[in-house]
Formats: sequence, C-alpha cells, structure tokens
Amino acid sequence: MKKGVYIVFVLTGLCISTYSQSKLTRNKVSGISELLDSAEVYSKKDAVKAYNFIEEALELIIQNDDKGNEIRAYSILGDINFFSEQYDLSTENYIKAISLAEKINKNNLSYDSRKKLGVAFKANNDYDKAIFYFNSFLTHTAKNLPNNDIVFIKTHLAETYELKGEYALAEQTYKEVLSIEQSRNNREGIMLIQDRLANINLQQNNPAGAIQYYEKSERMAEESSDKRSLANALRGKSAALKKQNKPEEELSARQQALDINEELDDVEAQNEDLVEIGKIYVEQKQEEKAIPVLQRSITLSDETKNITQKKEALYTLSKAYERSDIAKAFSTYKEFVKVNDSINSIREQELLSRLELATSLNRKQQRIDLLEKDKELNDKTIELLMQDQTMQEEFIKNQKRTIYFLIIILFILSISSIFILRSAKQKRLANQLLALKSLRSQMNPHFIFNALNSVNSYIAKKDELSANRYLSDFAFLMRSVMENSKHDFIPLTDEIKIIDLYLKLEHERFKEKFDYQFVVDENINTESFQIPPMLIQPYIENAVWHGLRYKEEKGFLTVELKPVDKNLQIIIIDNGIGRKRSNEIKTKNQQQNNSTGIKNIESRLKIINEVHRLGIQIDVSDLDLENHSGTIVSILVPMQKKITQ
Amino acid sequence: MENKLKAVIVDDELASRETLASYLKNYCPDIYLVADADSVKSGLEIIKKNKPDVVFLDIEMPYGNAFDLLEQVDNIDFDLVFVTAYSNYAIKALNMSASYYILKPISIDELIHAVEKIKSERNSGDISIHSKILIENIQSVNKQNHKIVLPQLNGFDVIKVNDIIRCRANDNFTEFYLTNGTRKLISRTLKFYEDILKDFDFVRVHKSHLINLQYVTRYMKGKGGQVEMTDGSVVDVSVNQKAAFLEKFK
Repeated sequence: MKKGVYIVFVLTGLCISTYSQSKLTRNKVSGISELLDSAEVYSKKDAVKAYNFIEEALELIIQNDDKGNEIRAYSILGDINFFSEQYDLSTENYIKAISLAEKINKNNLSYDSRKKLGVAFKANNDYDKAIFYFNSFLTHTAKNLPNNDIVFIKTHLAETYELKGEYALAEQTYKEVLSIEQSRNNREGIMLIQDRLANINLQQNNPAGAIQYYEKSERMAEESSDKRSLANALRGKSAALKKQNKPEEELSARQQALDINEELDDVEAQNEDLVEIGKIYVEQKQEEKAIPVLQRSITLSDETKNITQKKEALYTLSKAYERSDIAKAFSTYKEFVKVNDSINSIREQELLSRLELATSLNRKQQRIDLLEKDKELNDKTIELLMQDQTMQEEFIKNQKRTIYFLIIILFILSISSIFILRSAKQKRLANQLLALKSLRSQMNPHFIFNALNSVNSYIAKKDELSANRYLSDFAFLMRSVMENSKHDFIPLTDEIKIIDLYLKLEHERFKEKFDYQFVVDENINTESFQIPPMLIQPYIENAVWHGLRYKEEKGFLTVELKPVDKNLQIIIIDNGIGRKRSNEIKTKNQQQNNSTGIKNIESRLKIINEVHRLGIQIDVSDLDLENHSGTIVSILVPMQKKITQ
Repeated sequence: MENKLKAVIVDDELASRETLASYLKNYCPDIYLVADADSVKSGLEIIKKNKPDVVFLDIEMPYGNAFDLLEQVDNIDFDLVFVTAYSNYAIKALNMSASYYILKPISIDELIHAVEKIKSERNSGDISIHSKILIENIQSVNKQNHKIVLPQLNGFDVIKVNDIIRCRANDNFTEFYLTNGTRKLISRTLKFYEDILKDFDFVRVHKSHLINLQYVTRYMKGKGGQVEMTDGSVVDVSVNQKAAFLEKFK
C-alpha cells in the first residue's frame, strides 16, 4: 500500500513536470520558426551565423520533440553547406532531413532536401550518387511533379552526365528537357537547353551541330528581340566557329555580340568579347588590330577590377607585341605574371578561407551531431522512463485489479456468510420450532392409560354414570390437550380448564391420598393472557406422583394463579414427602424409568424463551426447608409481553 | 379344583385390583384368586404364604416396582403375567425374556389368551425360564451377558445376545445366525427384534437385515455398500441406511 502511495506521488510529479514543460514550450515554439527563418536568411550570406541559429533552434526542437522543424532545420543546414561549398556536409544534412521525414512518414516535409540532394552530390563531384538521387527523385517523389522541378532535376542530371563524360545520355536528357520547354513554350528555357546541347556538340567535336543549335537560338532571340540571348547565341556560335577554324565568321559573330553587349552595357561580356576578338586578331597576325582591342579590355578590366579578364588580356597582348615590340611584349608579360601571381594568391586566400569555413562548419556540424546524439540518448532515456512508467502503470493496474478482485471476493464472502448465517439462524429456528412441537404438551402416557384403566374399573363395577362422567372428562381433557398442542401459546383460560380437569381426574384416582384447592386471582385477565400450553400440568403431576402419593396421611395440594408485579405467578404447593425423600424411596429399577415430563418442560421453556424472547422463570424449592418435605414450584410468566403468534 | 390355577394379584390401585379380580372371576374359570396385595412388601408376603401358580403383577407401584419384587423372591416357581399401563423400558425387558404381559386397560380377550398360554406351557414343563432370564438380565450390568428367549414351537431357546451375528427377515419370521454356525427361525418379525436389540449395538442395515456391529469385519464401498461378517457372510447395506450405519463407526 505504501508503495502504491509512493507511485501515485511520483506520477503526480511527472504530470506536473510535463505540464510545466509544455507550458514552457508554447512560449518558444514561435522562437523556433523565427530562428529557422533567420538561419535561412543567413544561409547564403553568413554560414557561421546561420549555423548558430540552427544550433539554437535545434536545442529547442529537441526539447520539444518538434519533428517538422527538425526536418526543416536539417534541410536549411544542407542549404548552408551547399552555399558555402561544403558539399559533403550538405549531403549529410539533406540525408538527415530525408530520413527524419521518413521516420514520421511525412515525406512531403523533405521534398526540398530530396530535390537538392542530387545537386549537392553533383557539386561534390560524386556523379554516380547524384545520378542515383536525381533518378530516384524523378521516379519516387510524386506522381505529378511540377514541370519546373522536372526541368530543374533533368537539367542537373544532364549536366552530371556531361561532367561524367557520358555525352549521349547528357544529350538525350537535354533533349527531354527541351521537349518539355518547347511544349510549354518557354523561350528562355528552350534557348538555355539549346545552348547546352550546342555545348555538348562542341565537346563531342561537332561544331556544325553546335552551330545549328546556336543559330536556332539566334533566330528565336531575334524574333523576340531578346538582345541578351542573341548576344549569348552569337558568342556560342563564335566559339563553335573557332573550332571549325573559321576566323572571319568567328570574328563577325563575336563582333555582333560585342555590339549588342555594348548596347546592353554589359561590361563583363564586352570584356570577354574584346579578349576573344583580340585573340582572333593575334591568330590572324593582325597585331595592329589586336593591340587597341586588348588595351581596351585591360582598361575595362581595371575599371571592373576583373583581374582574371585582365590576365587573359595581358597574356594575349604580350603575344601581340612579340613580333613588333619585344620590350613591350616583355613588360606586358611581366605585368601578366604579376596579375597571375596576384590571382593565384587570391585563389590561395580563397582556398584558405574556404578551408577555414569548412573546419568551423565541420565543428559546428559536430556540435549539432552531438546535440542529435544527446537527443538520441535523451530519447532512449525517455523511452526507458516511459517503459518504466508503463511498467509501473501496469503494476498499479495489476495491483488495482487485485484489490478490486479482493474487494469483490470479500463482498461475495460477506454476502454469502450473511446468507449462510441467516439460513443457519432460520434453520436453527426451524429446528427449535420442530423440537418445540415434539416436546409440546405430551400428556404423560401413564396418565392416559391409567385414566382409561379407571374408566375400565367403573365399567367392571357396572357404574355406568361414573364411567361415563370420567370418560367424558377424560375425552374433554384429551381434546383440549390435542387442540392446544398446535400452538406455542394459548389463552390462560384454556390452560385453567385443563388444570381443572386434570386435578379432578387425578383426585378421583387418589381420593384417599390428597385434597386440593385451585385458586385463580380475579384480577387476571385470563382471556387475553397467553401462556405456553401444558406448562403447569407436569408440575401438578409431579406433586401427586412423587410427593403426595407416598405420604402416609392425607396430603394437600394448592395451585394458585396470581399477578405479582408485572408477572403472572403460578404456585404449586404440595405437602408431600419432598423431592429428597422421593428419590430415596425409589428403587434402582424405578429410577431407570423416571418420568421425562419435567425435562421436557424445561427444554421447552428454554426454546420458548429464546424464540419468543421471553423470560419465563421456574423455581422449585422445598416447602419445609428443615425436613426437606413438601415442594413449592413457582412459575413466573411475564405479563406485559403481548405474544403474537 | 385340582385343575384350577391358584392366583394372586399385586397392584397398588384398588380399582385395578377389583377390575382384574372381576374379570378373572367372570372370564377365566381355570383361575381362582386366593389373595391380593397393594405393594411389593405385601405382595412378597402373600406369595410366600399362598404359593400361587400365577402372579398378576403390576409393574409400576410406589415403593418398588415389579422387578424389585421378583428380585426378592427366592425361587420363582410360579407363572407371571405382568400388567402395566405404560412402560417402554419394562416392555423391552419383558420381550427379551418372552414374558407374558397385559396392557391396561385390560382386554378381556388378552387376559383369556394369557391364561390359556400359561396353562398349556405348564403342561410342557419349564415354567420359570422367562422369569429367570428376566431377572438375570435386569441384574446384569454388563449388556454382553444379556440373554434373549426365543420362542420355539415346543419350548424356548435361550441364547446370549452376544452370540447373535445377524438376523434376517423371512416373511413374518426372523432367522437368527449364530456364532456357532447354527441358524434359528423364530416366529416373530424382524421389527420386533430390532426394537429389543438396537440397545445392544445391533443395526438394521437393510430392510431384511439386522446385524451385530461387533461381528462386522469389513465394509465394502458401493451405492449402499456391503458388510462382511465374521462368519464370511456378506450383507447388503441399503442406500437409506448407509449414513446411519457409517455413523456408528465414528
């Protein structure tokens, strides 16, 4: 029981703590999405800051077990890493997001991650995995992928094939994209893919095929007056023409592109075009044309601080000077080396800073992994706790069940014991009543047969009248006794009649032995007062048979009924030989045959007193205490009790 | 006068004595009454004095009953007819010794019958056997030594109760199986002997079987079961009697 109380206490504690926890989380739920939003914002700009947001968010997420946001957090982590070119980390995080979503059966939450996973692998030069994930995205993600996404993925897939050197597959995939773009009439998209297809043709040493695509794009751009696309197409075409070794055509295409770019004021593009034109002139040994173009490019590069372009321009310029002015060529080359060095150092710095970022991001990632591990550990502890709790609950349930069971058993037991007790009581009562019936009002058979014998005597003496009277009285007495024997109680009047008759008949037999008087107090309401039948007669019989019959001289018997306090007192007095002498007189043979009348009445009274809750008392004493002669029997019957039958 | 039987009456009640005397006078010509007495004491006196052939003896009297009187008679050389109003105890004793008794109020027919019997028995000899056994039984404290008188066509068999293994009902006869292996067929019902013998550890195990419990060797379980007696006989126990029978062994 004590244990049970303890368990209840613990459970209450748990409830309160989880309640307060849930209250706490409600305040911070908004915090999580805010943190994630911030991370998303910073994902491109500042990976470290973004990471910090994510870390903070994840702590809360783990506390609240917020699966949706956890997926989002890892998805954002993937993005951050992707943008900071930590592609392996990026793939890791995307995969994490995907597997989390799978766990809770909400794959829609990891859609972006799955879309980007292939891209990240591709960026990480892991082409096979990239291809695998692109294909799996295309086949397994959803029935109706949006065209944009199909184009996105297929383009990346084609690029991956391209990178892998599988140009046929790349070309086929690009063509699939192209048909999508054509079907939805996306001009820019079409031109973009055509550009790619042209590029593939170039890479497969098919400049003619490439030129076909470029010219298609050229026409489309002209039709829609899309100058930028036109410039792009022209530049592509010029590159293809370069492969075909058609300098004039190349130059003209390049010149057209340059014109358009000038028109568009696209300095970068102009610069590139200028360098390319410069290269063509150098190839054509028209150095005098090349030099001003390249110088213009260098100026532009200085303006835009594009050292790569400047390097390219300087290198071509030094070549242009080679035949005309060695000194200029040398000084230009020196400048080129300088620029190249600075480019290299910039690259080195970039590499270094990227490495630095990588380490710091890795460290961050490790911390997040730790968080995750903590969470897993937490999960396990929680699971264990839960198990513990369920076990405890089970235990309590079992205990409760046992208690209920015991209570039911107890209930059944008490009910049945009540029934058993009651039935036992009833049985006892029934037995007592039965016993009462058998004990009730048996006239001593001795008396009956002796009485009949007396009648016989009268007959023998031919005393018809006496015989008839005696027999009538006897018959009346017998009838009364039989009638009364049906009841536990009879009106006192009836008992008086019986006593009257009995005395008369016994006196008739033992006339010479005793005289008697029978007194009933006038104040007794003999009609309403009830007493057990044959209560008095056996004591009178005893007085006659054991007391008066042995007396030498004539004895006297008094039977008196009077009220004493609230009782009816019945007194039977004989001046016979007394109980002591009577017992002495009897021989061994006679004692064996003792009358059971008194024993009967005693057991009867015991039962009557018990069943009817009465206190009938009988007191027997000697009349002459000194000589132990004579006997007084006093019977006290309570009056106030109205006996109901 | 020679054939007439000399009789006395011992009874404490005058009316009873008068009635019996009147009946004997009127209905039993073979009896002539020589005296009467109202107590054991006076009864002994008149028996000594008159040497009666028949004594009509009331069982219940004040100052000693019929058995007290008989115990004080030196030699019972008279026939006895007990007279009693009601005495279960006495009647059992009388039945055991097959003594004659008449119940009050006296039936004249029974009185005549009793006298007839006495007359015929006197001719066949042993007249005191019943009284002797009666007194023996009354005086013997040890119940094992009690004897029972079994009336036969031409006299009586006296056997010890202890020698009876079992009794079997045979129509209105009872067959006694004794320890010496003999059987006796008695012209009395089994019920009659059951009443007498049930005070001696005899049990009615079956409608037709009364057995002496001390000779039971084995009880075999069954619906009612069976008992095996020392003589090897097997007696069925009826379903109704099983419980009562087994109760005796507790």
